[in-house]
Amino acid sequence: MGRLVLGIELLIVVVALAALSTGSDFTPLVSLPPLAFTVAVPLLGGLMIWKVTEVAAAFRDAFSTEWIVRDRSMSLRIWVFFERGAYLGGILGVLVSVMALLSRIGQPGSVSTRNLWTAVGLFGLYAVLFGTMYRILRGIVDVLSKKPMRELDLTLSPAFKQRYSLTERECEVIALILRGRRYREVAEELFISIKTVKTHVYHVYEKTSCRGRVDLIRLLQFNGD
Amino acid sequence: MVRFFTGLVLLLALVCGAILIEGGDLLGYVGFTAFMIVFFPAVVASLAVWKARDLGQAFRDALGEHGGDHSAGRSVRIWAFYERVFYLSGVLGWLTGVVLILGTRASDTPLLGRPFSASLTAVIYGVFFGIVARILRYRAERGVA
Repeated sequence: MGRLVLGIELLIVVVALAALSTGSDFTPLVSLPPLAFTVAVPLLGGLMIWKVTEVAAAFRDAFSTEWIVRDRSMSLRIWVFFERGAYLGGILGVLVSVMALLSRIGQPGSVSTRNLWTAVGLFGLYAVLFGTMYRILRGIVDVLSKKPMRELDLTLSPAFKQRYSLTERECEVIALILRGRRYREVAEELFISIKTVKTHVYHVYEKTSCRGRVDLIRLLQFNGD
Repeated sequence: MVRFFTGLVLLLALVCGAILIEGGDLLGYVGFTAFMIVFFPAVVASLAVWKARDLGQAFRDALGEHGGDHSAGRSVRIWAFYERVFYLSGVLGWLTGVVLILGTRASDTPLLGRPFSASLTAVIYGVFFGIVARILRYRAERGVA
């Protein structure tokens, strides 16, 4: 949360400095159509693909202050879509706006080149602002899902052993593997052959439907909650 | 499916609302030629690559009946292809319009605004259809019913 606020603040400062350096005030920067295109287009598009609860979960993940232990790939996909959607919405908005302005050239109350550049600039500004914000939110979800190894609880609880019908020996082997030991080191420590270690590891992965130690660590964290 | 079409209607309403706020004429954004330039190359190009049955399955994968992982992978590729072709067709339509305008009205500078505006219709269609194709790609990828 703190990083998000910091990112947004930095963006606002950059925009403010840009506005001040051109000697203009902030009022022209507030406009409804660019806001609608860069917020509503990704949001509507997102709701056409995912359920409301899934989009809400992506928001919760991004504003969470705790490590995300469940599968976060959907949240990441949603934020990637939002980011691209903001840019595409901005482009669509620029085109709609410029076309409207161009069609009024030569009419009473005619438009100037300045109007055109203002429209392009506003849509561009909003697209970059919201696109960057969605990118920051995606980054937060990504960072929160990568819990440092030293903070992980890698102990195999009795309930976990029972749930996946793991034998004592399999638990001993996999506990050492999860702590970063190599097959040879495990074999030496437990006085068994490397082939036996590999067989135990294979059985654990098969029983837990895991494809590797990363999957198993994730499963342990999920079951630990 | 209902969610998709509701969203599509709202998306169109958003674009129409923006046109009205910006003071544009809604009818000025309707262009059959621009639609043809954007839509037909995409359909013809996709038929040159995939069978009509595969394209039909891509629609079904994105809008309802999911045909399994094998078909979903192909559908995702089809929608990604459509998305790119829509953008490119839009730019192609705009360039065609600009060439025609500059070829016939180059000396008539004050009157260039309206034809230039009309030439942008193809780009708007391209971007809009591109966004819709992207949404369909994500739906096919996810297997949303």
